[in-house]
Amino acid sequence: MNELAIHLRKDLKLLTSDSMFVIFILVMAVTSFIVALSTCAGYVQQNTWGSSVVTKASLRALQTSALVSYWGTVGGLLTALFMGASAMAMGAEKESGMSRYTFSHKIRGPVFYLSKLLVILFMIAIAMVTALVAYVVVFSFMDVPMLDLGSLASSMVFPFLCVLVFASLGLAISALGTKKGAMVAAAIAIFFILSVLSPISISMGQVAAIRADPNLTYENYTEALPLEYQLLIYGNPMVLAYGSTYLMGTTGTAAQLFDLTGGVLLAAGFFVAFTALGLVLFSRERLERPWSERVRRLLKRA
Amino acid sequence: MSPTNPALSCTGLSKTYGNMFTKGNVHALDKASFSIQEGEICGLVGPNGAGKSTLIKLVMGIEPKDEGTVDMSGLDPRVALGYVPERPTFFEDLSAYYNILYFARLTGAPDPEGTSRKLIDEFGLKGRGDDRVSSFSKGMKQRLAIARAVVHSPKVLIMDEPFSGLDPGMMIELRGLLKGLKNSGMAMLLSSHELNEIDQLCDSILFIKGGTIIRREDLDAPRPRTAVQLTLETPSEAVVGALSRWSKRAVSGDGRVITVEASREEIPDIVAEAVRAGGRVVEFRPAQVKAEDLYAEVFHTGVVT
Repeated sequence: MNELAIHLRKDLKLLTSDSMFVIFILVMAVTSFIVALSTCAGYVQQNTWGSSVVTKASLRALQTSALVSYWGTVGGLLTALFMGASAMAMGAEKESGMSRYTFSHKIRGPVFYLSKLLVILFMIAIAMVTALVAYVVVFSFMDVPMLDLGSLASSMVFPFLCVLVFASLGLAISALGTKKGAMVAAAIAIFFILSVLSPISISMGQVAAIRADPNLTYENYTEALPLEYQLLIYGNPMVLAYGSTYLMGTTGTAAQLFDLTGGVLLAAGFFVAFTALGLVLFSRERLERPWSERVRRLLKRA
Repeated sequence: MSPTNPALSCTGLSKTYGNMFTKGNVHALDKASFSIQEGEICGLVGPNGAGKSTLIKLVMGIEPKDEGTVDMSGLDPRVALGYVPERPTFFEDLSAYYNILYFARLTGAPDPEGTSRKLIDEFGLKGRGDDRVSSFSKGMKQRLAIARAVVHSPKVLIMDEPFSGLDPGMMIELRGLLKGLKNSGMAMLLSSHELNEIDQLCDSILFIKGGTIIRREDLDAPRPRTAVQLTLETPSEAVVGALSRWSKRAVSGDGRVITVEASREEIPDIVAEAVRAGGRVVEFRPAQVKAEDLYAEVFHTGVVT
């Protein structure tokens, strides 16, 4: 059995033997159903009080909008939840000293870290599927044609990427220290700061772009977005939360910050960067001399 | 025990804590060198803060060392060493069996499932293997910690205060387990404040103070002069006087037990002299070299006789 499989089996066993795991799944399912019911209620209300002419296309547009709104809410909740949960991922073993003891055996730090990441990915998959099932079950009771599978799947792409990126950030934070509570507090603080900064930097970027070139409008301001605002907007993973509206075409005529390929690349960039950061932070846990120390020694010798 | 075949050999191990931001550096360990032979149990003794735990961490690679080498006949220390930390930790929500199994798999032990079950039985945890570790007593956890540490049949077992907090019954049990491992040829480095346990288990003692190994004592080595203990029926000043040509070490409070230092050949003379002086000898035996006496001698603390 290879090392990854050994860690993975242990991590999954630890996860499933924790009573919080069942509670977590239940909370996710109940929350998803509540949000789905609320979204459905909004959808019914729009149908009731909206245009008197109801067509298949208008129903589809309304349902797409409802779907995007649903993932906006559920995705946001899951993002926050997974960032907090991931920030605890290393905590239990670090706090008890188990990770140090484990490292007194011949194991590889990145593999240990990767195992945690895969377990988080597994949890995210469960959460996303649960949320999708909740949506499909609730909307199946509506006497309207259901959106096709492609639309349902497309709507999940960016919420999934967003949760994944923030979970990888949470895991990197968990590698930072030994106190679980402190790491969760740090994750919440970072999540809050990023959430607040994202819309502010987009609004300020819009104003700055239009001020730089008065011929531009909110439909095409991205062409003249100043570099500092580009860094602020694209350097904040919260920008991924807008992806669903772009992909599902519910933004109207407003300019899009990225397309599907750009969004996926952006998410991949964040994911790789946060995972690399986590690995660097976690390397301090290794028993051998950390890489920073090795570099310093090499420089000294040179 | 072959003196040419050390199971563990450490040379010039040094460790300094502190960095450019701290005012002063602490030399936790300074050029510590020692070796342990196969099947030898070596005690590591010293006052608090002497550098015992640092030495163990450096040998285990838990702390990076500044200088020195740890040699296990060319083997990777992490494979050739087993480690029982001062406060063993476990996956408390998992079973004892799984706690061992995880490390059996990690260390590449043959037949990890079978080995783990066997160790559970051998270390007195039969019938409790599938219970969560969180339900275990301290003694059971200590046995589990040792079982886990030897799952890959290491050459050397390193233990940091294994007797700490155990009741006498558990200490006896643990002593039995360690003797069993010694008989299998496993070498052990045992840091402990329990000098009685050191006496009963160890073949040698390393005394450490201020980060320096100041003395190594081989308890089984033949000695040119040894302490001999004479117990009289009643105290006698005449006997004490008659034995004055041997360097006197101690006389017990009630005056009945006299300890003198002599060579092996002089023992019949001591008994004869005591009898000649009118003493009625009820017991005579060479006094054992006690870790406590050695500790007092090395660290210059008072001895209560």
